[in-house]
Amino acid sequence: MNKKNIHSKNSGFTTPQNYFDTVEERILQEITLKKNGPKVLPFRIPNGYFETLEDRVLAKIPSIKKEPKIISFIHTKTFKYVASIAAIIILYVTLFKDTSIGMFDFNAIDQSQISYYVEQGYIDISDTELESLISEKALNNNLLSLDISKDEIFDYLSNLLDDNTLNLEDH
Amino acid sequence: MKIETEEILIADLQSETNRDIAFRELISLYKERLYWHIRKIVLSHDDADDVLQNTFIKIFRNIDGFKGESKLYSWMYRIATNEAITFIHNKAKHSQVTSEKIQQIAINNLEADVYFEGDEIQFKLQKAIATLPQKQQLVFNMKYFDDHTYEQLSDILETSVGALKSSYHIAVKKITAYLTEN
Repeated sequence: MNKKNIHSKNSGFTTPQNYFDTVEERILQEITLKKNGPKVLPFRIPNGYFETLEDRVLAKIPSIKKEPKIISFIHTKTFKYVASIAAIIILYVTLFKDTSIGMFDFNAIDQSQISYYVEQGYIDISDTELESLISEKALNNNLLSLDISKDEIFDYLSNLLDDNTLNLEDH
Repeated sequence: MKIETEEILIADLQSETNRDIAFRELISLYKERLYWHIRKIVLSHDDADDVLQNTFIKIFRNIDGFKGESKLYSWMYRIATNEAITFIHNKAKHSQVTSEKIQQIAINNLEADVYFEGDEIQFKLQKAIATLPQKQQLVFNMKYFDDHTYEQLSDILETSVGALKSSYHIAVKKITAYLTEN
């Protein structure tokens, strides 16, 4: 069949670029795979595994239900986020307070840039390390000065709980 | 599942009174599909069991926030996928190796796994899949073994149909080459 004749009829349909150049190869690959690659999964499961699954999952649910709906502030990402900023400020003050060398103006750094820096994981410190860096007094002062409303915290946590989206890198 | 049936189930899951019964029904409906989806990612039965239970617990905790923007099963598949990938990442972090290394270890353990009953070619196919980047593995497994449509995959993986087709064809090409060479 002459492909050009089909296209010349102006049907309005088009194909991706080089589609016909690779179609044979792709079909043959699929055939080879289907011939050599069995579609049956080679995995087994223990006898009666699925019969007891509901009970095993539901057995864990009551303990979840009994948990009060108070979200511990100290374990939330919000705490890490705020505490990381506090840690940066404290580190800066500790390191540069007594030096007269004005390398840069910390106030000139936009808060969103600091947030981005923290969120990207450029600072990799454990909770324990974080705790050792921050005094409770300093933390309280910094938290208070951030002026975050209860509604904002609630919205932030609600969004966190709803966030089930995939975060996969494209390959 | 019919849309009306799904809506009733979701309403029950979000109610105080029928939640437990509805949740049991939900587990019964999806346990096998989600299990096999997870098993193909983590490979070992014990790990799949852990991830599956965590997936259902997460579903239970978050069902109130399910707003029906995607289908229920797409939403659950997405949670299962995230849980499985997070499980591998955590395992890698704990062992201080890469996620790819963890998957290679899981593949190498397959031959000795009492819950693996594949022949040589099935083992080779699993080895070939493990050589792919994670997203290509997902697309290949879900398309090749589960016969999901690209539209379903698009909903679950939140990726365009065109990108998924491209991922699948690249995966097929690599796997064919691996099987031919080995």
